Amino acid sequence: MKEFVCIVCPNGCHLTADDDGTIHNAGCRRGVEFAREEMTAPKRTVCSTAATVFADCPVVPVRTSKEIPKEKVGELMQMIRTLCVDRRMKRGEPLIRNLFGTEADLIVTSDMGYTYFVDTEDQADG
Amino acid sequence: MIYDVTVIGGGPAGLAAALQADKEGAKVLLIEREQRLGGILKQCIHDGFGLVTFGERLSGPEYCERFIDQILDSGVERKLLTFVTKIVKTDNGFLIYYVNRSGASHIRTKTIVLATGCRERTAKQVFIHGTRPSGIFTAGTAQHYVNLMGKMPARRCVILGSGDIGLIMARRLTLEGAEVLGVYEIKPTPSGLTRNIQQCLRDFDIPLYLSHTVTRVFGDERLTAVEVMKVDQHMQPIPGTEEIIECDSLILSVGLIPENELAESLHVPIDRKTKGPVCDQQYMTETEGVYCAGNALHVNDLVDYVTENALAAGKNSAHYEKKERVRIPVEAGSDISYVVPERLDLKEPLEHVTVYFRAAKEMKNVNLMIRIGDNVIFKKRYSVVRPPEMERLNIDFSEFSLQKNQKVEFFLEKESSEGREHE
Repeated sequence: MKEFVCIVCPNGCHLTADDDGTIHNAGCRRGVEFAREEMTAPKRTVCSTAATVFADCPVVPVRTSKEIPKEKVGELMQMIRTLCVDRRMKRGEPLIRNLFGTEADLIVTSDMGYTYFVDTEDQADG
Repeated sequence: MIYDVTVIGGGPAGLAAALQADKEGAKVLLIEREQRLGGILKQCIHDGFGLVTFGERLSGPEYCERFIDQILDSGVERKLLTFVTKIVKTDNGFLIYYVNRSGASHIRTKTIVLATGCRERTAKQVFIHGTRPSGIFTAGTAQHYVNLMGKMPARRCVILGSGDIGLIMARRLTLEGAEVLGVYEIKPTPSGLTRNIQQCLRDFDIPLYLSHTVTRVFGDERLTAVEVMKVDQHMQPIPGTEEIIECDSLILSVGLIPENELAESLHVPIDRKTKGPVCDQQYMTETEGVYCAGNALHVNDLVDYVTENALAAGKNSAHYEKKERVRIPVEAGSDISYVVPERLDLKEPLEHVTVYFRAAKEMKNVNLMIRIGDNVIFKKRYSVVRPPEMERLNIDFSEFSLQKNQKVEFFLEKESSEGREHE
């Protein structure tokens, strides 16, 4: 028997799996799926930051658009370390497409085009 | 000119409250002391936000920017880099004094929504002995360095406290190449969410030491080592268990406290348990016209609940009318650490009251009971309750013909003790 803590949602169900693959204690269907994946091919979402050339935001937050194989996390961190963003990107824009052939992209998660001061007065000034 | 609603604080609570008050037709002002809206979510780059609100696992910036986009398209007026210095009650509302780039000034408002968030407990508040070297940060400060400034504050670090931000930072620093030697928690159970213990510590083989604490720090200019000790069941260090760990940083994740300096200056009564203002089901404090939302009210573990409570506070503040109130207490009974709201106003709707509560200790197979006088009016079974995991209920109090002089009490009862009622 194997035990897992489900990381899909904040409930954090304590899942157990029998030797034949039957999953117990899952609060929902996603938990069953999670435990199956943990036993066969575990996946994780990776969140980090990428360096930029802009003084007002030296780094920009990034994440994988969906989960990638857990064993690729270290390799992805190495790839992120070599990045340098040199244009103002929008929230959701991909920085790297099709990571490790998984259809997951590395996306920017904050709008760098954002006016730094979004005061009502500043907006009126243009 | 007088605003209907002035929201103080531009984090997730303030954004939702301002947006909703605007939708309800109020003239709204949002005041934020930083140069960007979004509050602490700007630096919370990890995912997991918005499962309840959007059905997606967003990062903090994505979550708050969805609200900021709406704010920019709304009628909400904004003052950024603006610091509120004083609030004065007047006959028909409040005068809010502030300083910003244009100097010192003030505005008039009918109502206020306090959305000032919470603050981290610091090293001084947990009584760590020793020298005063650099290298001792709160988890939020370390997060600011790494995620907003792109600087690494640690190479070899020890984390004190197993709060969620500490766990998140253990993972973040590890991914960025630092060595996290261990997370030390004085209590016998972790403070953070179970899933964060899994995905932030176990995934990276970072050890978690329960019933342990940091007792001393060493170093002149920079931290060179910390002393950790085991503690007994009264959380007192056990002599002879000292261990010296060489490290350059100590990161503290030892709890959050609602920020209520402004509320206190208005003499808004504070709940000793939540450390936020006492409020009714409208999220109005005991001071007429002053509402409170988000982590200033009580420390939430999910931003989705902050948004939910702030939307309601914003809506109610927009429809504020001065009137007579009949408030009865909602009390936290045995094994409940707190209940929000702490009051029910019998003159306001009682049909759909959202109640948030936390258990005082981890318990399995318990019933949450709600009692009015001697009558138990509600019962719900939980297979497990844990202090770090807030519980939420929606209760229709209108059917119990509540009277003034009555009180509502929440308590937990072990399932096995049910039979005693018949003794």
